[in-house]
Formats: sequence, C-alpha cells, structure tokens
Amino acid sequence: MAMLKIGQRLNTREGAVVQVERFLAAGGQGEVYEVTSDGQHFALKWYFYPTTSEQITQMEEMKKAFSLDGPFSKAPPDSRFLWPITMVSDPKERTFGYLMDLLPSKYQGLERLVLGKMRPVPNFHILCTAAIQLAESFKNLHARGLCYKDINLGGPFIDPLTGDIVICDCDNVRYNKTPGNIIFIFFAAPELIRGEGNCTSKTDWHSLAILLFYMFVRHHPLEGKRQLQINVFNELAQREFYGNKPVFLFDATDNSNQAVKGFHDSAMRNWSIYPKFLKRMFTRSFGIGLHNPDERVKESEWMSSFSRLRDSLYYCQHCKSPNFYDFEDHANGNHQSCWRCKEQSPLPMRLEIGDVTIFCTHHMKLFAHHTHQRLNFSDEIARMTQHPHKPDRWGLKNTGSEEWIVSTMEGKTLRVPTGRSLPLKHGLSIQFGSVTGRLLSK
Amino acid sequence: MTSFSEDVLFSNSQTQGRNQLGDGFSVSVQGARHVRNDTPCQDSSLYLATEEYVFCGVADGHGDKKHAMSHIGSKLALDVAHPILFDALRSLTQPISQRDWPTIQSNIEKRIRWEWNCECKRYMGEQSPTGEWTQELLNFGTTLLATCHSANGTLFFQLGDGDIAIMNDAEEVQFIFDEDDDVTGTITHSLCRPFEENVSKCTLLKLPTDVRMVLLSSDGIRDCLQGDRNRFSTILPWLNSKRDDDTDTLNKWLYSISNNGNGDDISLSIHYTTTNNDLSGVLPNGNA
Repeated sequence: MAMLKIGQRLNTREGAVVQVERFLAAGGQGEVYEVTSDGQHFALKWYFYPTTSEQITQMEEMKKAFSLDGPFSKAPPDSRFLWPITMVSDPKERTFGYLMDLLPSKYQGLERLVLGKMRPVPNFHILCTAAIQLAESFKNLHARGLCYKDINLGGPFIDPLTGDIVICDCDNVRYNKTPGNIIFIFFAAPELIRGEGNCTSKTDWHSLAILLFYMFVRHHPLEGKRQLQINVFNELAQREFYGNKPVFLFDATDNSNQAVKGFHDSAMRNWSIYPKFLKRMFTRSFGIGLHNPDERVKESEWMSSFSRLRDSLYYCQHCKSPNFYDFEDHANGNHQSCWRCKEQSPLPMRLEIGDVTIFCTHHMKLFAHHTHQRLNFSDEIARMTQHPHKPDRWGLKNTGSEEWIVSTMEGKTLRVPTGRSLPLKHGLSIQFGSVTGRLLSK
Repeated sequence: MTSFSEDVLFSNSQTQGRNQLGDGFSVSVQGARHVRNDTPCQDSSLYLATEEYVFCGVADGHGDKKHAMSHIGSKLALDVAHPILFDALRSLTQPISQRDWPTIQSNIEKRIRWEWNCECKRYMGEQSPTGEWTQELLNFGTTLLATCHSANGTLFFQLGDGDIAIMNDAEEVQFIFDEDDDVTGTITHSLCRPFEENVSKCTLLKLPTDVRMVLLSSDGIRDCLQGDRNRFSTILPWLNSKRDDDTDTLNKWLYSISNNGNGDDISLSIHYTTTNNDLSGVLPNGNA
C-alpha cells in the first residue's frame, strides 16, 4: 500500500505546501510521487519508515545531508543532476522526503541500454556524447569535493535521440570521505568491498569506469572465466572477485579470468571493435587502477577519450556498419577492415587539427574542445550540413562566433563567416582563431 | 502416419526414489516415430532422492542428424545439473534482492553449460577439457528442465521447451514459467549453443504448503496435445489419480500418447511432496 494518499498535503522545510498528485514508483529506500507546489510539478521521494537501528542511523545521516552545511544546501554542481531541492516533513515525524524536478519522459535508464531494450537504439555517436556528458557531470560533482557513492546503471538516464543525460538518485551524494559507505558490490571499488576507507571521488572513478564499460562492451569487466568455475555466485564469491582478487576480463598478462568462447562472445566482439587508445584506458582502469586508486582514469581523460572515439567514427561503404578507425594502426601502415563485413572501405574526408583527427561524417560536430579550449563541449563551432538543393553535397558550417579564414592549395584565401558553409575539398586549410585545421581525403 | 499397436517393443528408462521430502519417479519413453525409424530415445530423465535433497529432471535431446549425439547430451545434462542446483540451493538461504537475482540466475546457467561442455568433450575423448564452446558440441544438443528440492526451498531451472507445473490439494495447476515467446515451431533454446543472456529461466520458491505434486515434462506430451497448455494441465490430476498404478501401465499410456500424436519421445519427472512446509514466497522470474 502506498505510504501517501493522493491529495494529501505536506509541508516543505520552508513551509510551502506540497500536494500529492500520483504515485510514480517504489524503490529500495522509499516511494516516489508526483506532487504540485505553487502550481509547479515536482517529484517527491518519500523514505520508508526506518525499523532497524541501522536504518535509523541512515535516516539521521540523510537528514544531515539536507542541513545548512550539507551538500544539498547549495545549487547542483551540474544541471544534469536531478538534485534534491528541499526537504519535505512528515507531520508525525516518522520519516521525511525531498523534492526534485520530474524526470522528462524522453530519458531512459542505462539498464534498458545494457539489456538491449532501449528504443530507439542509440547509435555510437550518441553513446559517445552520453559518455562525455556523464564524465563531465561527475567531474563537476567531484570538483566540489563531493562523491556520488553509488554510481550504477540505475542512476543515469539518457535521451536516445541526442545523448543528453540526467543523473537521478542523488540523495546518497556526500562530501568526500563521509563515513557510511554504500556498497553495490558490482560497482564498488575493491578497497570499499574490503572495508578499507570511505567513499571518495576515487572510488567513484572505479564505478564510473564500470558504468562506461557496460555502455560500450555490455558486460561487467571483472566477470570472466573464474565465474564459470564456481557453482554459486553468491556474496562470498562476489567479494572475492570484485574486492579481494579482481582480475580484468581482458587482462593481457593474467589470463585466469579471461573471456571464454561460448560465454562472453558479445563482450569479445564488442571489445574488438574499439581502437587501442580506448582499450588502454579500460585496461588501466581494471589493471593498475584496481589496486592503486590514484592510477584510475579521471573524468577529464574519459571526456577526451570518448571525444576522440566519436571523432574516429565512420561508416563502412559496403555494409554501412559503424566502425572506429584506429589511427595508430594507420600510422603503422596497417589498413583497417570493417569489423562486420571484413571489407576495406574508403575513408571519409578528415579534418586534422594539431594531434586531433576528425572524420567528416554526417553527424560530425566541432567544439571549442577541438580548437582552443580543451574539454569544452558546450560551445559548438562547426557542424556538417547538406547543400540545400544538392543533398549529396556536404559542407562544414560555421556555427561558432568567429569568422574562419580558409586557404586553398592554389593559394587563394576565402572567408567563412558565422552561419555560412564551406564545401569539403582536399587540401583546404582552415584558420579557427589561433588554430589551423586541414581537410584531407588521402 | 503408420500406426503402431500399443504392445510394440519400445525402450524406456525409469528412476525413482523416496526421502523425507516426498517420493517420485522419472520416466523417458521412446517415441513411436523413433521406434518406427529404429532411432534411440534421445530424451533422458532423472529422479534422485538423497538424504538432503530431491532432484527431478528431464532433458530432450534434439535428435536430428545435426544433433546425432543428443541422447548422450541429454543424459550428461542431468548428470551435471543436479550437483550444481543443489549447491546453489544450499547457498541461497539469505533473502535475495531483485537486483542480485539476475546475476545468480545467469551464473547457474553458465555453470551448467560449462560443466556440460566439459563432459561432452570428455565423452569425445578429451583428457582435460575446458568448458569453452566448440562447434562439435552441437552434436549433443538438448534442452534441460530441472528442479532441486530441499528444506531451503525449491530451485527451478528451464532451458528450452517443456513445462514445469505444480498442483495443489484442490487439483489447481500452476505453471512455474511463462511460455517462451521468442522461439517458434521446432526451434528451441539448447545447451549446445553459445551462452546468451535471458534465455534460461530460473527461480527459487518456497512452495505453498498445499502443493502436492511437481511435474516436469519434455515437450513430447504437449506437442501430442497440439501444444495446448490448458489441455496439458489436465494430465496432472489424471497422473495423480493413477499414482498407485504399476509403471508398465504408465509407460504404455505415454507410448500411446506418442503414437496418437507426433511420435516424439516423452519424458516426465514427478515429485509428490509429503512435507508440510509452512513457508511461502517467491523470487523473481517465476509465476507461482
């Protein structure tokens, strides 16, 4: 039976009236309702009544987080967190709740993605965008000295059409090292499982790496051969495999937990399509990073990596499958074949800006990150556009605020102001402010 | 189709047992079509009552040329399943959250597959095999339906076609799992294929105290009843009423069903409970 009645009125800590409109969902800690306050719609999370001493302690700790010096007393560190707005009191003081914004219906949970149930199915470009946004959101949270504590597939939601994200379940956010760990064993850092230390941004880094691995490989990075050799994967086994002796599924030196044909086929196939630079990031996360938290991959590194991955995306001209081009192989003289049809495909035109290479595919966008401000993915400066009358012709549209100066191979100079497009042509040099890019088709 | 008289010589295998949890038996009967084609019964079944648990299982070997060793595969499936299910049941005493169950369930299937792969490879002559999947395993293709009962509860597992049902004192029948909606016709999920997520079904139940009978059946009987689950459910009270009949009568009846239907092998495993567990409850994935 629902804890609150439809139409019931409650008060926020500041005295504003909140009216319960409808039940939305129930979870492990409480129930969520849609409510109205002063004509606006919100979500109200209402905690279950604590019954054990442990739950009473947890509730007291939760109340502290809402105090004036707690993490929720300030504005959210990033607008993508569905941040607690204010506390709502129980007239009988048995429990309490908090208000937050309603989650727009276009967002879907990452669990649906991993289970293959997300519709429409987000493409790789969108997944990379979502990964960048996730890393950026947690970077902003950590920059404030906070940690999320419970990163798992249930918290983040993505818009499968754009890759925009929202992160829910923020009520466990605390200042770094606040006592009272939350251990969801599949995502928890090994040292937390072993009972060493408290949650920090570094324990979040481990959980974030698992989350990203799930998004791109669709498998848990520490679940391999060893799991097949025990009858029951119970808590004891999980503590051993995730806490005491974790070994990466694709560890290059320790094959005790390697992926096994017939059991981890999709993980092996998915892993094989990514360029080496991304594999190195995961290998670091689940190699040295398992044992040395300082060596874990930081959010800014993930942002750069998934931007690089997005920039290396192209489509096989034979079977139309998305592929990621491994420029390291290219530098070594190896020519890449499509992972699906095994054919070698002509590559699209590419834009080289310093050490960054971006394929000019139909959804390519340039951000300040690519030219003058690393990790700035908010300020777009260019995107691919179709010719309005000749849809088979594509150009690079200036969507930034600065005019481009373009030099042709013949020595001519062109100017491309904001809002205008530049037809793609091999050999063009484009001056983006102080940085020069070069269009190449060979 | 040629009709066979009911006194034709057909092969059957049978196991039975009894302990403090109840008694029961399993039987596999060579189908009429297999008698006619002189092909072995590809099904296997097992009823095993030990001091601590009861195991019931049926496995339906696929039987066509592509799965020429499926009569071995079905037997090996039951051999590997019962220690794994019992071990799992013994360990799963604590409350299991919705969040943890999918991992435990998936691991039970992987574990059965790994050991089954090893045993099939041993049968093929490998000395120290690993459970890695190979193409040759297709020869051994089989389904697997199994339950393990102990004081902790009952663990149900199903991979592929067939039915697991329970019947209470009032002769009300309930199926443990929904029917697969992702396979059609003669296609079934099989142990011989590489592992895929969400293919097997598994649940841990504390059976209600009024449950008297647990039945596992390969798809042989239901296919002979035009696949109708409602018609199939009527055989539980009927079988219960014939509980004291001799096994020869049951075998002949099963053969007769096969002969009048599609001629497939038929396997049953039945457990009659005698305990009065005052426990009830359900974990994810089951219908009970």
